[in-house]
Amino acid sequence: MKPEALAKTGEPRPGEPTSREEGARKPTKRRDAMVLSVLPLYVFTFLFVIGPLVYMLVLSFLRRAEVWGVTLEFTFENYANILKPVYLKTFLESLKLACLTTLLVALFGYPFGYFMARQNAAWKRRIMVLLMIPFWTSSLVRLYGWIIIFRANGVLDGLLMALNITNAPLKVLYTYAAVVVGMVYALVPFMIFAVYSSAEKLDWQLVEAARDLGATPFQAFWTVSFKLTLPGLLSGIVLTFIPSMGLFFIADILGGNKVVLVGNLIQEQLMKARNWPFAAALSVVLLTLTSIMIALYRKISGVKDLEGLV
Amino acid sequence: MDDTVILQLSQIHKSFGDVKVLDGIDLSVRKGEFITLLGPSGCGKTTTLRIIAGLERPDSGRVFIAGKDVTNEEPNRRNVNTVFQNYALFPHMTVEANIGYSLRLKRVDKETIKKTVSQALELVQLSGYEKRMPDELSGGQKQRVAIARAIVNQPAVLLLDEPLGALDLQLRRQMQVELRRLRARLGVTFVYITHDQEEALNMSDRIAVMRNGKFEQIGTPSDVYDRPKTSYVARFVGSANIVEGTVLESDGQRIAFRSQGAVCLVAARGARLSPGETVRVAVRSEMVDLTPYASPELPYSGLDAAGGNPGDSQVGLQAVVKEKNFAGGVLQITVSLADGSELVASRHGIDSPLVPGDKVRVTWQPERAVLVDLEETP
Repeated sequence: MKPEALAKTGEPRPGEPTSREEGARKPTKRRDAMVLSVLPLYVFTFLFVIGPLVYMLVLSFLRRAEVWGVTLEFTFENYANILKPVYLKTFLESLKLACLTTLLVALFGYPFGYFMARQNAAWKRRIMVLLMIPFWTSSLVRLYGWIIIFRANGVLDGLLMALNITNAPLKVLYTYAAVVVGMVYALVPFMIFAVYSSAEKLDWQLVEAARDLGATPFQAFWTVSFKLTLPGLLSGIVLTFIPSMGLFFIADILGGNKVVLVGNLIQEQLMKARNWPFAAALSVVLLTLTSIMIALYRKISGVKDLEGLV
Repeated sequence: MDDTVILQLSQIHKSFGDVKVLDGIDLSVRKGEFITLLGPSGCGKTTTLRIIAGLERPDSGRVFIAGKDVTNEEPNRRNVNTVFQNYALFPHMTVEANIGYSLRLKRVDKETIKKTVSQALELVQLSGYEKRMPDELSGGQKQRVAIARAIVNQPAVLLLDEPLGALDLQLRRQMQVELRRLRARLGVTFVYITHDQEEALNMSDRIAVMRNGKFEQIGTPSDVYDRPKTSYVARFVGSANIVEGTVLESDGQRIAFRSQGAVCLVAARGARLSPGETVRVAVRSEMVDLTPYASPELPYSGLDAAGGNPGDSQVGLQAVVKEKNFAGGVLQITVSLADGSELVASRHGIDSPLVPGDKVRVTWQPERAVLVDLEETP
C-alpha cells in the first residue's frame, strides 16, 4: 500500500471523535478574521484597478458626444477607427520602437547585469548605488539633461567637434535616435536588475563543471549560464517592452512632434481631442497587446513571477 | 596498473592573497592507480584537485598529464574530469542530457550518445532514469549521475572531490564499494579527496596525507597506518598515541628512551640516534598494553640484559585509568600519565577488569611502536 493510502486510513474513522469536529467552529472564526483582514485589499483593488479597467472598457464601446463627454450608445466604431492606416501606422511605429528599444536594452543590460553579479560584494554594492542614484531625481528632470546634451551646439556636438570627429552640429535633438537613446536610458536599469537577480543565483560551479566536461568559455556560457539566466532576461524584456509601448513623454520631449507613439496618441486623444472613447479603445488594445506579451513570457519561461520585480 | 606515470605535479605553489594554500606539492600518479589526498579541511586538497582540473592556475610549478605539460591548458583541453563535491549537475537538463553533455560538445552522433549514456547509467545502476530532472533525484542518485557524467568521456584521470561527503554513513559505505567496483571495471586513474581516514584506508592504493599545503607522507594505506613518518600522520590516520622522551641508548635494533620517569622501548628500524636526543614515538591504541601496577615490577637493566644500571628505572609508563567507553565493539580505556597527558588503549571485546582510578603500567611491544618526526637524513 502506498504511504498516502495508509495516511488516509489513519485519518478519521466513523464513531471516533476527531479533532476536526472539535475544531469545527474555530476555522470559520478564523476565516471571518481572514476575510476582514484582506477586505481592504479587495476594496482597493476593485476601486483602483478593476473599476477603472471596466470603466475604460465600457467607455471604449461608447460614442463620442458632439460637444463634450460621451453618449450612451453602443458602437464598435472606435475599434474600427484604430484600423485606419494612420492609427495602425502609429501602432506599428510604437511596436517598432519598442522592439528596437528592448533589443538595445537587452544588449546593454544583459552583460551589465551578468558581470555585476560576478563582482564581489563590495563592488556589487557600489554599482547598485550608482544605478539607484538617478532614481532619486524625477525622470522628467533627467530627460531635460538629455536635451542639454543633444541640442544643437550642445554638449554632444561640442565634444564631437572638439575631437574633430564632426565639423558641423549633428542636431540629434528631436530625431528618432534621440528618442531611442532616451528610451534605452530610462529602461536599462530594469533589465540590469532583472538579469542581475537571476545571475546572482547562478551557481558558478556549474560553469566550472561545464568547462571541466570540455566546454569552451563561450559554450559553457551558452549552454549553462545563459540558459539559467534566461528567466531574468525574459522578465527584463517584458519589463522593458511593455513600458516602452506607452512611454509618451520621452517621445514628446526628445522627439518633438516627429515621433508619435501609441502613448502619445492616447494622450492626445484624451487631453487635446477630447475623444475619450477612442482613447479608451486605444488603451484597451495596448493593454491586450501587453497582456499577450506577459502570457508569452510565462509560457516560455515557465515562471509565474517577474524576476527582479519580486 | 602499470608503471606509466599518468599524472605528475611538480613543485606546485599557490597562494590566495596572503594565504599560502599550496607550498611545493610534488606528486606522481601511475596509470590506473587509486590515490587519495587525505587531510583536514583547509589543507589545500581541493585546490590541488582544481589545479589538476585546470580550474585554478598554480603560481608556480608544473602539471603533466600523460607526459604532456598542461599547466597552461584550459580545463576543456585536459583529459581529466571531475566529480564535484556538490555534484554540480545542470539543473535545466535531464539526467540523460547531463551525462551526454561532454559527448554533445564533441559532436558525437546522437545514436552513439544515447547508447553511451545508457551504458553509463547501467554502470552506476540508474537505468531508466534518463528523463528525470536532477531535482527529482535523491542525494545518492545525484552522486551516481555526477559519476556517470564524469566517466562517460573516458578521462585519463578521474578527480573526485569528497564525492561521498554529503551522504549518510550507510550510503557512503555502499558507494565506497561501488566506486571500487567501478574503478576495477574501468581501470581509470582515480584521484580522490577525503578528510575521512577510514574511507582513505579502505579504498586507496596510495594515500597522500596533506597538511598546510604540503604532503606529510605519501604511501600505501599500510605505510601510512603502520609506519607513519610524522606524529601528525600518526594522529590523523587512526589517531595514534604520541609519547615523547629522551634517548638512553640504542643497540641498533631497539632504542630505549626515558619518558616521564620511566623507560620505554621502540624498534630502531635503521634510525641512528645518540643518547640525549629527543624522540617521538607513535603507538596505536590497540598496541598498548595495560598491566595493573600491583603486578611484579619490570626493572630496567639496560638493552643487553647483562649490564646497565639496574634498579632505578621501570619499563613502562605509570598511569591512572581515567575512563572506559565502548565505541563500535571496541573498548577504549583512557589513562592519564604522570604529566597529565592522556593515552588511549583499545581492546576488542566489551570489558576489562580495570576500573577508573586503577594504577596501571603502560607498555608495548617495541616493534609495534614507530619512531616519528625524525629529521630526514640524506
